[in-house]
Amino acid sequence: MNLYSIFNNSKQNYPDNIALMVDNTSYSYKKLGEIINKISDRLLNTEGNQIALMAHKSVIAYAGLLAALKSGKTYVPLNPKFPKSRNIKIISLSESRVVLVDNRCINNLVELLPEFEQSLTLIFPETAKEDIPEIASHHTIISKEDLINENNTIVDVDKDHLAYLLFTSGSTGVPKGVPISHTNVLSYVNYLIDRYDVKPTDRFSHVPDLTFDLSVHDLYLSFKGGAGLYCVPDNVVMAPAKFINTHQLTFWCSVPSLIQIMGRFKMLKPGNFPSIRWSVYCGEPLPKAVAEQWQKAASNTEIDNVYGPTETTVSITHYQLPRNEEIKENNGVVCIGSVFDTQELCLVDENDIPNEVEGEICLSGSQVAKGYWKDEDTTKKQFVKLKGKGDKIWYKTGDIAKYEDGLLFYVARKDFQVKIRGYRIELDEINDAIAKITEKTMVYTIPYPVVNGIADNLYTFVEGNSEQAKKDILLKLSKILPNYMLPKDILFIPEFPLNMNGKVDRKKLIEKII
Amino acid sequence: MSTITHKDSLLELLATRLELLEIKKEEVDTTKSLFEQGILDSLSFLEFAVEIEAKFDMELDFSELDPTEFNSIEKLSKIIENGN
Repeated sequence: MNLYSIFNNSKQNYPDNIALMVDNTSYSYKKLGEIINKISDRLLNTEGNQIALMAHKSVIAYAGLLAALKSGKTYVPLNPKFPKSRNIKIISLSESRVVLVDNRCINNLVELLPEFEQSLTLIFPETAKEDIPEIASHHTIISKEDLINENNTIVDVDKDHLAYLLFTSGSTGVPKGVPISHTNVLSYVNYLIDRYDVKPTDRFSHVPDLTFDLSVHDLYLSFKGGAGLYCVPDNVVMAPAKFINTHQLTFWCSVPSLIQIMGRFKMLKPGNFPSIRWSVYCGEPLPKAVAEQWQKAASNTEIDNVYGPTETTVSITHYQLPRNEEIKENNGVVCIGSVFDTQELCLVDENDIPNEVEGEICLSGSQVAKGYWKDEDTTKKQFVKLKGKGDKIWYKTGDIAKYEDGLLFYVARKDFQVKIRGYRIELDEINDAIAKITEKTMVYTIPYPVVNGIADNLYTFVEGNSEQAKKDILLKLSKILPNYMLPKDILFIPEFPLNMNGKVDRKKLIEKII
Repeated sequence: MSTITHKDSLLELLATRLELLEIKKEEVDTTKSLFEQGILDSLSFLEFAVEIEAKFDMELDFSELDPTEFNSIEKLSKIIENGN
C-alpha cells in the first residue's frame, strides 16, 4: 500500500486536470507527477527514512512531500517562518538526514547548517549548482542539474509506515513529534471523500502552513478526487476574497479566526462567495455569529464544524450546520457534533472512568496515531487502555467536552479548566456575555495566574474600542454572571495576536496582563 | 490634495514600523511592494489598512480588492485619490 496511490490514480484518470495552482502557476497531474518522479529518483537513493522540507508552500514543497511518500519515506515539514532554533530542533528530533530546499528558502537553510556536524544530504530541485552558496564539504549537495531521471517506482510500505511527522508544542518546551501513518491518512480521506462528494471539477483552497496538520485536509482530499488545490499566497491569506472568486473555489477550509478577520474588513457581503459548496472549520471554537455570517456570504455552502487533535489526523468529529433550523450552540459556540462513523470516542472522568455526560475526550480507531515520536513516557501517559473497554488503546486528548441532546460540545482544555474560589469556570460563558454587552465578536478570557488548575483572576480581552466605560460593562455583567465569574479587568486591544497557525496567541495576551 | 502628500502621509503612518525595522523613510521604494521590502506581512497590512481608513476617512473594500494589487505606496496613494 501507499498513500501516494491516491495521487497516482488521479494522475492516470485525469492527467490534464489542474492538480495544483501555486505562485501563479498551475500544474496538471501529469506535470506535477513528472516533478515528483525526478525528486523521488534521488530520494530513493538517500539513506535514512525522514525527509525534512525547508520550503514555503511552493511547488517544490508539494512535489517534495508527495515524492517522499512515493519513495516510502516520511516527510517532516519545517517552516521558514519559525525561529531558526525551532527548525534546528525539528531536524534533530526527527533525525532527518535529508533536507529538500526550495529557491526561496536557501538562506533559511544555510543559516541552520553550522549546527549540524553530521553530514546531511541537501536537495535543491529548482536551484542551479552555481546559485547554491558555499556549503561545508561534509554535506552532500544535489542541485537541479542532478535531477534528470524520472523514476516511476511506488514503494510498497507497511500499513503503519509513517507518512509524516509533525511537531506540536510540548508542555516542557521541547516540541512533541506526532507520527501519522499511511493508514491514518487513508482512513481520514476515504471517510470524507464520500461525505463531501468530491468531484474532479472541484477546486480546494489551501490556507494552512504545512507544519499545521489542518493542511492535510485539502491536500489529500483534492488529490484523491482528481480536483485542484489552490494555494492561497501568503500576502493575501488574510484577505482572500478576491482569490476565492478569481479561482471560483468550491471548497474552503480554515480556522474560524480568519473568517472573523474577513468580516471586519467587509469581505463577507451576502452572496459574495457563491462558488463555495463546502466549508470546513477546524482548530478553534466556531462562534455561531461567525458561522451565520459565512452562511450568508457563501450562500451555497454546506458547513462542517470539525474537531480533532493532530494525534488523530486532522479531525475526528463533525457537525454539519443546518441552514433552516437553529444551529446547536452553547454560550455562542457551535457544537462539535459526533465522532466519524469509522472511529470511536468516549468521555472519561478524572479517574479515567468512562461516562456519558462530561469528561476528557478519548479517541480510538484507524485515524489515531500509535504514540509520540521517540517519547515512551508521554506515550504511556496519553495512549492508554480504559476500564471496561477491553484491549483497545485510547488517546487521551486533554480536551474536555460534554453531551447535550446526543451532541458533543467542547468545554475547555483540561490544563486550562480552572477553578476560582472552588467554582469551575466556563470561559465561553463569560466571553458570550461580554460579547453581547459590548456588541463585539472577538472576546477572549484568560485565567491568570493559574497554579495547579486554581486561578487567581480572570482577564477578558475584547477587540476594538468601547463606547461604554469598563465599570458599566462590569455592572451589566454582574447582573448576568455570578461574582466569581467576573473578570478582574477588561482590556480593549486593536487586534488579537495570532500564533503561527492563525489561532489566538494566549501567551502574547498574558504578556499584556503583566 | 496631491499624490505627493498622500505618499508622505502614508510613509508617516508607517513610521513606527519602519523605526522597529531600522529602515529610513528615504529607503522605502514607493513603487515596490511593501511585502517584498519586508515592511508588511498579510496581517500587519490589514492593520495598516485600518489606519489608512481612519486617516483618510474612507473605506477600503477587500471584497473586491486584493492586497497584492495595492501593496506599494504609489498604488495605495492612487486608491486614496480615487476614494476621496
